Amino acid sequence: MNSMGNGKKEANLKLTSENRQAIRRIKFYLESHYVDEGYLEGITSDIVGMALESQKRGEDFSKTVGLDYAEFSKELAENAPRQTYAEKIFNIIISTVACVGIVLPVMYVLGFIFRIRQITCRTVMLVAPLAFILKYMLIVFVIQVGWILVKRSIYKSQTFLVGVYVSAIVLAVILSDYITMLKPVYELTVEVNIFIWLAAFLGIIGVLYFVKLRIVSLTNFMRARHREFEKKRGR
Amino acid sequence: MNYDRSQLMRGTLEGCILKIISIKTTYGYEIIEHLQGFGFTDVAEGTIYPLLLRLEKQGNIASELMPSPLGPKRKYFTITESGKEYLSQFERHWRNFDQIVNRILEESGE
Repeated sequence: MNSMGNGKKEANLKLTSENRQAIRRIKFYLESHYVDEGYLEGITSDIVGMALESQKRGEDFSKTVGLDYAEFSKELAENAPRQTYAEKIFNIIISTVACVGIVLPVMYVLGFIFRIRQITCRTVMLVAPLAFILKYMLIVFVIQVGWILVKRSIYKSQTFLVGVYVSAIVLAVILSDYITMLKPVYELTVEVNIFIWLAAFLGIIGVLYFVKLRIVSLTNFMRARHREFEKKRGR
Repeated sequence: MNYDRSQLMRGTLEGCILKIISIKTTYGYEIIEHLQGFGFTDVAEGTIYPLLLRLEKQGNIASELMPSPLGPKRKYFTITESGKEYLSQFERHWRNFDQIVNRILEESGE
């Protein structure tokens, strides 16, 4: 497994920066279109192989692809198997839990370093107004959703995309300030043991990830069975 | 307005790729060389790779990674039993289709 990972790394290092960037964008596009994760890995390593062979032949990779990268990515997304609804939902839940869960440990560390007025850090305890925590959870959520949208629109104008993304984050920061103005939420102070929090959210992610893996293997099993059935039925 | 032959090509290319794979186990670039040799001069890896992906997804071809002298492992494709059946259906439909289109073109030309 490790040697496979090293092989992949080695292959990536041999790519020209232009080809590496093109492949990264293709991967982003496919990820945001919920292409089956197993297939995505296979497709990426196939494309890396294609690019390396074209480099060895002294050809331009875009010429090897023949279509423009956006069209190629679209064709791939249309023809590759997609994640099932259950996988998609689990992926969204896992990344949301991860994003939201990481807010408190980050606040705890920052509270120690910068002495933020609203945050008090006592040994392993983080004490902060609920409004403050909700505000940052909302911002992180906007950053995460925005990132998915950026990946989905990877072939649109980059300046425009970055502009919209940054504006959305700034807007989220401004709007989330209204949460801190809600007196009942602001006055409610939360005291969290950061280690228990970390263990709990890592545990939740672990369970969700385990369930997702079970769903993926069940889906692959059903697909293989369906193919067998189709083969026997002779279409 | 020029005729966009890619639309016509896309539908038939799948059958041609399957035919090439049915002759011998082969990989992407070799398939392109075959297609180009037969006259599909504007075919590139980007055109056939999504088709190979679809054929594999449908279970008509199977793939296996094998070492390549040019670097990373290459994916070699083999036709499956259902692929053979799919190919014979394609050949039947194509011949029929070819006759009909030729008849229309010839009769309209008279």
